[in-house]
Amino acid sequence: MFRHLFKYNLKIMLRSKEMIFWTLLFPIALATFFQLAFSGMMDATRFDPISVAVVEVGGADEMFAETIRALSAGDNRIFELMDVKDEAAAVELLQEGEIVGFFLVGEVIEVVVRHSGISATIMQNVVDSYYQTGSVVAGILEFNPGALNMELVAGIHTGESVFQDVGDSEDADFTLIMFYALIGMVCLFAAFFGLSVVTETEANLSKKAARMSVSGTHKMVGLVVGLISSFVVAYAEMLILLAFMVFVLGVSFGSQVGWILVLSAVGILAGIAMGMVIGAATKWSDNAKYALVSNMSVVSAFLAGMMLWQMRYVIEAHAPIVNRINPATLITDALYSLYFFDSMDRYFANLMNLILITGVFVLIAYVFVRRKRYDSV
Amino acid sequence: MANSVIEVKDLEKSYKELKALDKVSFEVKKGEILGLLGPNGSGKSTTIGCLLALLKFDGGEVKVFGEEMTPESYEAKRKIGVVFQDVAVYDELTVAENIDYFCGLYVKNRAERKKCVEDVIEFVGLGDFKKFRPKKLSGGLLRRLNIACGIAHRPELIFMDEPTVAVDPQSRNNILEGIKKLNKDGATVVYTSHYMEEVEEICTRIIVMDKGRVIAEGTADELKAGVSIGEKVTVEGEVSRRVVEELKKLKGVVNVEVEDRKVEVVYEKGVSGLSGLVAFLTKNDVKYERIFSELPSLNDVFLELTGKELRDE
Repeated sequence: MFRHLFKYNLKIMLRSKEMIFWTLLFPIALATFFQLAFSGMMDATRFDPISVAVVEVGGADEMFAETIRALSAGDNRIFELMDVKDEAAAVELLQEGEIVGFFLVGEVIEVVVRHSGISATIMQNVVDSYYQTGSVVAGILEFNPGALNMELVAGIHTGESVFQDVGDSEDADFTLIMFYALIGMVCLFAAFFGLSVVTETEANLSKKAARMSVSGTHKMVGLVVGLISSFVVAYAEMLILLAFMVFVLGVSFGSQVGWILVLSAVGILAGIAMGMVIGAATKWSDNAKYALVSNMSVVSAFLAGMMLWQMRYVIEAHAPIVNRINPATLITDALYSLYFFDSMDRYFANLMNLILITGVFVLIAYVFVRRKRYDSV
Repeated sequence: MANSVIEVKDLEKSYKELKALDKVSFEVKKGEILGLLGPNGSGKSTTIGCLLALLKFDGGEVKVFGEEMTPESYEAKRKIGVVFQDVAVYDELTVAENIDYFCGLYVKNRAERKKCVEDVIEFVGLGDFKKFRPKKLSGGLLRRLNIACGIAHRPELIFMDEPTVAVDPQSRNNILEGIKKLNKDGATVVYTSHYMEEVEEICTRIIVMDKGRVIAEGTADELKAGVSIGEKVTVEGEVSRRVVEELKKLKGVVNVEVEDRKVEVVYEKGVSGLSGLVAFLTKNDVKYERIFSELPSLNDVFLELTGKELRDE
């Protein structure tokens, strides 16, 4: 039975021109477009240091000023630090547009800017991360001073743990975020398969499913084989897309191929599960459901930076929870961290979040697909 | 009951306030073609859905092959074939692949399945279209494919839910002939339709449904015998008002209706009026173009039972 259903599921999926277009040809065309549109953009997007000043007032944390000075040195510096005597001088520079903003360092550290934007977001992130890392060190000092890792202290000083993702790499190329977000979108496009499988196994959703339900074959067999077939096709398409990006377009994914493949697999499972939920839990027409899958995938990828790489930083500043639950952002960030960071922590954090979201989708879908009789067909 | 393939007792189902099935009870005997006749919305398809354990129901009992029918009744399901009203095939598969796919849900052995597929293709007359995709088929051929997908595994019990809707007359005749042949080969058939002529032509027994209730049951002759009116004679031609008034006074005439150049004379049950009417018209020098007689139809049965015409629904 498995072989019979699997064979025909593959035939049906591979012969569906619409499905193949959206899940394979469209992403390839989009990747090619990105490459043509953004080739040479790497230089343009290389990080320009942000002009800032530091104003210390009573009870100032001297360590912070030193950190900013460290971040303002070297070729890959984040800040261009301007010397100011006092707050009035800083405000004057700010009004003249000489600086983007300044840090007002007292008992607490404030960020003063004229306009919100990516630079302001980065400045605020510096402060947040400074506090965060500082509290970790303080905690260690309080409970186990012997365990204090000097590298961590040095990290505060150089800001490494915070700023790698905005410019410490020689090869920082922000257009990569767009390609990575595209991978995220393609993973979510696997929802088309999940939606199709549910539609064709739930008797209240299609007559073909009703045929399956009245046959001598258990509905769950059809569902499971359908999901396996969907995963095989979607994963094969992903491999083709990755190969095209790497070998034809020359997009860099770093050297951690195995983890990229694991991430893609989990991403596709998340997409399929999302499609199952949309298929089973909503009562709209097929067209409306397919439109919803398509829109959700594109919006999710947009928020992850597919059209505008700064987007996820903006989201991070204003609604960080979105970045924690948006599958495309998790995939993008995981790929990004694989490429830029030596540590796997951030990759695994993203992967775990993705697995968790997939699990939630699967549970919701199961509640609906476990039904055996329906109110109407 | 040993001969019963299906036993339905006091089946009830409601959609909120609407009573879709109201204590429906009937039996289907082995070897029958049972017709479920009724207008759209009378509960025919809902009954089928409950029989197949697809639909939830509020009360009653459904037994198929002597066992209570549940979603897990896989043994029973393997002996059942279903042809739904809507065509349910895959556009991505060819005619032969579609049949093989659905047949494979019942028949695991490949050689056996291959034979089933070949036989059913021949049975429905799709031999020249085996490699065609469904989108290339006409409406009638598509219906035949739909039927083939439902019966390829040689079921003992076949449900056909309005299989001739939107089908051309030639394909309809093919389908009806096919059903009779399936029945002759041993299959029990439950056939739903709102076309009374079809039901009358192929069904050995008929259940008439309206508003979720079984309102009559029997063979076509038994049902028609139950109506109070008899022969209906229609005269087409120029008939004067005086003659119409005279007609109403004839012995055995219960009703006379005039519509344009057509006069319909309805006689009492058991009265044969054609020859007497011909003599009357000749005597009154009425020049008519056509005269014909009809016995009560299933529509008359439905009209008498519900006060409305089946064909008007």
